[in-house]
Amino acid sequence: MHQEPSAEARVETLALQNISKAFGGVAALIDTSLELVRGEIHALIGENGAGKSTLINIATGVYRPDRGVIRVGGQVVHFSSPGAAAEHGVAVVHQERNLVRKFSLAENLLLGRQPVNKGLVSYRQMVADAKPWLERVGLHFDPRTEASRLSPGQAQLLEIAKALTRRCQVLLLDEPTSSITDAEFEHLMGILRELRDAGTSIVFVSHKLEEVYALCSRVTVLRDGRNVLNGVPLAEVSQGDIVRAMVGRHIELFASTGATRRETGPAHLELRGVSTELGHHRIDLTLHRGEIVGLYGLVGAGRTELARSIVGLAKITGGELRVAGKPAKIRNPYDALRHHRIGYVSEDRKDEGLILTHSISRNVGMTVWRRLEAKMGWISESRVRPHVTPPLRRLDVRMHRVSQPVGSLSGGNQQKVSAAKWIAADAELLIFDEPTVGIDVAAKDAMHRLIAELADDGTAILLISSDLREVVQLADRIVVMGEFRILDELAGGGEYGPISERVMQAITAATLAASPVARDAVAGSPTH
Amino acid sequence: MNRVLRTQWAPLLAATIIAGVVLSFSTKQFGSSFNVYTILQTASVYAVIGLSQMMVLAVADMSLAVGGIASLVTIATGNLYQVQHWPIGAAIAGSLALGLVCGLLNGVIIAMTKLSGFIVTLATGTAFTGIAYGITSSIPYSNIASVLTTLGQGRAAFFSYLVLPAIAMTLAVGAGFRWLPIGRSLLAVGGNRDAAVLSGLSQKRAIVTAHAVSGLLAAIAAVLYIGVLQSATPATGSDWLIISFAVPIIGGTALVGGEAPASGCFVAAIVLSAINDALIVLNVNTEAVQMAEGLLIFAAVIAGKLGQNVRTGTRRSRRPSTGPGRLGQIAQDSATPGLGMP
Repeated sequence: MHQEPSAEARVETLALQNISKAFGGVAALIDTSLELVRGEIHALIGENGAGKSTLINIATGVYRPDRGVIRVGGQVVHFSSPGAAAEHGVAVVHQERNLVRKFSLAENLLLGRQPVNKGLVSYRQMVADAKPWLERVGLHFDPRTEASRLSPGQAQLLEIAKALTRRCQVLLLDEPTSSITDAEFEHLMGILRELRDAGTSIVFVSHKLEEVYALCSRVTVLRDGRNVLNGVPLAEVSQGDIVRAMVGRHIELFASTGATRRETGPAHLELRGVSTELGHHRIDLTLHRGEIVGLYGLVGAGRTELARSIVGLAKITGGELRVAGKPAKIRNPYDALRHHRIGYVSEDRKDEGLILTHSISRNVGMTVWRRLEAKMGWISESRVRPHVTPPLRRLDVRMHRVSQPVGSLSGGNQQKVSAAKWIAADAELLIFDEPTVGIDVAAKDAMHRLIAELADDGTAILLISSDLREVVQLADRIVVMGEFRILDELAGGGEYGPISERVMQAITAATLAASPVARDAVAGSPTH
Repeated sequence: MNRVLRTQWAPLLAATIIAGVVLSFSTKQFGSSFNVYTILQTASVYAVIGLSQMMVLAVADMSLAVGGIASLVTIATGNLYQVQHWPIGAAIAGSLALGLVCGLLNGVIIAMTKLSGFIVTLATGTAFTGIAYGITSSIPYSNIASVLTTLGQGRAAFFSYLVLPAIAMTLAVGAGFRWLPIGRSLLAVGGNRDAAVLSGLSQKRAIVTAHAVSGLLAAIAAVLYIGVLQSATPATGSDWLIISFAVPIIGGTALVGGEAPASGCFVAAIVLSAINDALIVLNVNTEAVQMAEGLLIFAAVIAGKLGQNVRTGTRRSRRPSTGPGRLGQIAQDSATPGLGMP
């Protein structure tokens, strides 16, 4: 475990003091502070909309504070642009992957500072310059590889390497782990610890408290733009304290109540030896009414792809798909919802789930228009509203009115609206794809409750998640997927330890069989 | 070689060459050296028009002012030479500078107002054409310098002299995107604006540069076309809009930005010109020629899309995976043995 730096060794690197910032009269930050010392990993936590991103954007020169002071190494500074912050050694790795996909790894790494020889970009020099930085973060690729070939986790590592090339003193990581695998996280932790020991100050934004405790020494918690905890050593606060600080009230986490196995009805969806054009091979999977089936696997295992094939976004090339006991052919998501009552709550809520510029009621109402129209021939706001309001209320969406644009809501509330849409649709089978990625503890909890309640009411649920804890808590059955095949199936609701061990074994075994080259990778990866 | 075969325009070029050979056997006229010269002459102008649009497409913007700039530049060249009695070199230099300034103006307006290039260039392009008609009262300048006529009409057997400036422009633009730091910035901004801006590149600078160079290329195309037409008329550019998009799109330029295959432009220009010519040789009427152009754009885009799907799998379905199997595969591809993850 990392030792707290002693009082003499506490050298301030970056300090944001009493920062206030408002957007169009709405206060995003009020007297907020974040103080970093040399060689620490500092957790920054808060619900979505608490002001974390604004604070990070101020620290990196994207926004300028209305009030307050920024100090670097004790000197007061004013960042006029991201470039200015970088010059002071403050670098950031954003939540979104900021890569130019068509460019090579080397060029992405040195973007804007490509080595130039006699006015021309020197690719040979670029590759040579990039190599050591890529090695440093464990990306053992040819620097000429196109960036589009990286996994999300590897893209994250590339971004960290990019920050390192700027010789930063302070590294801000905005939810670096929201879409990476456990093995990649372990690797990332190793690199962050190395950087910390070399004296870098690191800010780690995450919703996953387990990660925070594993990695960080101090924590700053924001709520509604204010500091609730300010640089408190993590050893002095419990997870419960942090959650309470974040949400401002005590919540009985659903997680702690645990899942109960439920009585399940007849089979609703059956896949028998299904193969798809995307590469799935002989998939057997059955979902019963009122049952939650957790589909777990690493990123890239083929889970999202299977869901998309079920709702007709990709072709099924072999085997049989049966809905409610009858063979069915689903041509597209419209068909899936209208004729088979299957809804797909997509992982990518911004691109696929919601129309951000449209109102909440329009977004939620979309799935019922067709039904209402069939009865009356036209749709009006007042006719749609009765169908829209109950699911929104049930999910406790925090909004001013149903006519406000979805884009004005926080991430967690957007996710709730996305789910409300499918509840309004009254589907009999819902596929949730990574429903809690990037949303805060309270919203996550609400989502968990919702999924459980839906199942209790008889809806069949396929829960795709890379969060094994979530799967173990919620699912009645856990199906493990890897390399586009079903690897294992086991009962849910048990102890996390033994289940995770068995799941990891299944994935490891499949990986070894698939690729002898990967043996080293797996042998070194933890199995919890 | 492999890379050439995998490009979007390769099948199209192959089809055109085969069709060309077949045609030259069936109708004597098509394969005649004069006809091939005509095809190359038109293709050369098309290629530069296409490059002009491709500059702007590279930063994920578009310009509807390519034709308008050409119209104004054509008039400027004619006026400076015939009315102001400037030497032809100075007249051309002045006109090219005017094209550059027109493009610069577009870029600056777009960067300052943050309006879309579509709207801004729709307005400025129309205005440029209007000015050109106003200056000339719609009457073309007919006194054309011999150097322009020689360039536009000259040939060695089937080889049109215009091919030389067209190839020079293609190489210059291609090299600029590949080796100049500003060229890389343009592609970075077009490929992922946020990444580029966070890396300290200026989006405004990229947009202004793209439009300025686009204006210069439109001006070059206009000056070349004066020699072809042997007249400097404000009507030049009025039918360039479709060409300006068709050439880069058929050549494999993505409308979403971040790509600029200059050589693709050149090939697409030849394909388009050859098909136009073939339809005329075969006595197909003009409306059908336009329809064929439309179908060709469609075919090129679909071919490109299919090709892309074959290369990368359908959208999102095959995201780069993290399964160690894939890691192993990439590690094998790369020079270094070993793996991404410990």
